[in-house]
Amino acid sequence: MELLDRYLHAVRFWLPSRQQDDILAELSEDILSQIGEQEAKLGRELNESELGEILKRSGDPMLVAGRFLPQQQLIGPPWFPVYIFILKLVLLWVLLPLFILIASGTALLSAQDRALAFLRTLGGFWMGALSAFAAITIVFAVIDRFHHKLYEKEWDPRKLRAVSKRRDSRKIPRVGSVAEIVWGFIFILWWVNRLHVPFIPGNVVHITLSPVWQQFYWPIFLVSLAGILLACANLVRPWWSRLRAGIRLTIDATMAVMACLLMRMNPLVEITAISISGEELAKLQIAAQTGLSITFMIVAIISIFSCLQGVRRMMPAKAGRHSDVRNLAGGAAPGP
Amino acid sequence: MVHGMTIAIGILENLRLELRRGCLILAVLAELRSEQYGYTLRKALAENGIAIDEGTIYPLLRRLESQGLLLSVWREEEKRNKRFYRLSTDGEQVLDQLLGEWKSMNASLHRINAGGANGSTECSISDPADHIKENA
Repeated sequence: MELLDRYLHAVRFWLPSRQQDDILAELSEDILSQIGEQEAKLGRELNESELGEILKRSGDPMLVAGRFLPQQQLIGPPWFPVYIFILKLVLLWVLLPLFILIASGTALLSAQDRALAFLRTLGGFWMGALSAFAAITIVFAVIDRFHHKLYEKEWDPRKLRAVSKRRDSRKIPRVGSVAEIVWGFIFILWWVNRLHVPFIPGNVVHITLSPVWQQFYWPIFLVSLAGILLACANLVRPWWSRLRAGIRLTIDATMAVMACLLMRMNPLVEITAISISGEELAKLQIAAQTGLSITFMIVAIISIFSCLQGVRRMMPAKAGRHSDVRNLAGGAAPGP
Repeated sequence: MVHGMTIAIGILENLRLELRRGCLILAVLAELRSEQYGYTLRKALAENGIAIDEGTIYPLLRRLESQGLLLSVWREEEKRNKRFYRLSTDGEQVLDQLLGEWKSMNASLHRINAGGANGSTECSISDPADHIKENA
């Protein structure tokens, strides 16, 4: 019966320690009864393969032992949706963007291989994510263990949150269009040097754009003008048409490309100062450069997201759902 | 059975197990009106059409005992130590209530099935406790 001993030993390994002897006594008695019955039928002792068949029918030792364990789930159904929600929120919406930001900043400040510096810092995300995952799981396991009664109490449907009106993704808010026109106009006036914004009062420090900007002068002007004109059209017809969605996508894509190019330019600004030492001026230059590079990186990320939104607007609607874009170039009023 | 309906074997197996799960407790409690040990209990249930493996029945017996529905005692029989189970007083009361519940559900299902889709065959669902009593 060496095979039986091995089977029982394997089951014992997974059993709760206080119940091992008791459970195994019962289990072995059952298997011995099966063996005895089979041997009585055959009129002889069972061979190893016949005994193996009986043990196979009993089931895998780990599975058999698992059924004797008191609790079969770490986080039960009532708390699981909340647990998953918090996990996604922390890992995807807090930790990941934070690490991308930190990694990007580290890469920008790194004197050597920026890509390597970015990847190295981002690698730290996994340890952070693992720790967050462990902490959240433990917290919810404890809550599930000790707060069963929390979700058994009576609930009142009248206390449920009111349903907020779902924003129609086809509509373009007029407020956004007005803001785009106003700020776009101010920017263009500044860009063509018709509007002077004093950076620092008293003209102690004077900041000007470096010559690298010359190649971007007309592209930036045209993109800004296109943005203003599009916003005017959107103000008159506040719903997306395929044409205007395409124009928006082109503007966003151009902005993303320009932001990526500007991010790599050095220097972006030239700083002159009257009463600051050379060393302090150099530090100021580096700070300004870093700040602007990070700003353009953020602009690039936002533009890329806008591009993805634009692509989604251009895609044909799924069956049963409204498309974001009207098929007519002029854009008729959205139907029901 | 509805003609022409194809169901994946895996889905059917899962649904079958779910259906059995509720019946097993009732069958075990009904069978333990008379004292039995694990192996003979399994054999008796199998003879009545409810096959149950040792990996399922022993955790179930322990759970029912921890809930106060069963009593157990170790005894030597045929030179081997065996654990004998029988219904407790609470277990008898719970069994009677569960049987009442079962009969009510059985009647409801029968009504639903009788008033169901055209062409469906009438399905007769017997009381497991009666079935076990007949073969006792």
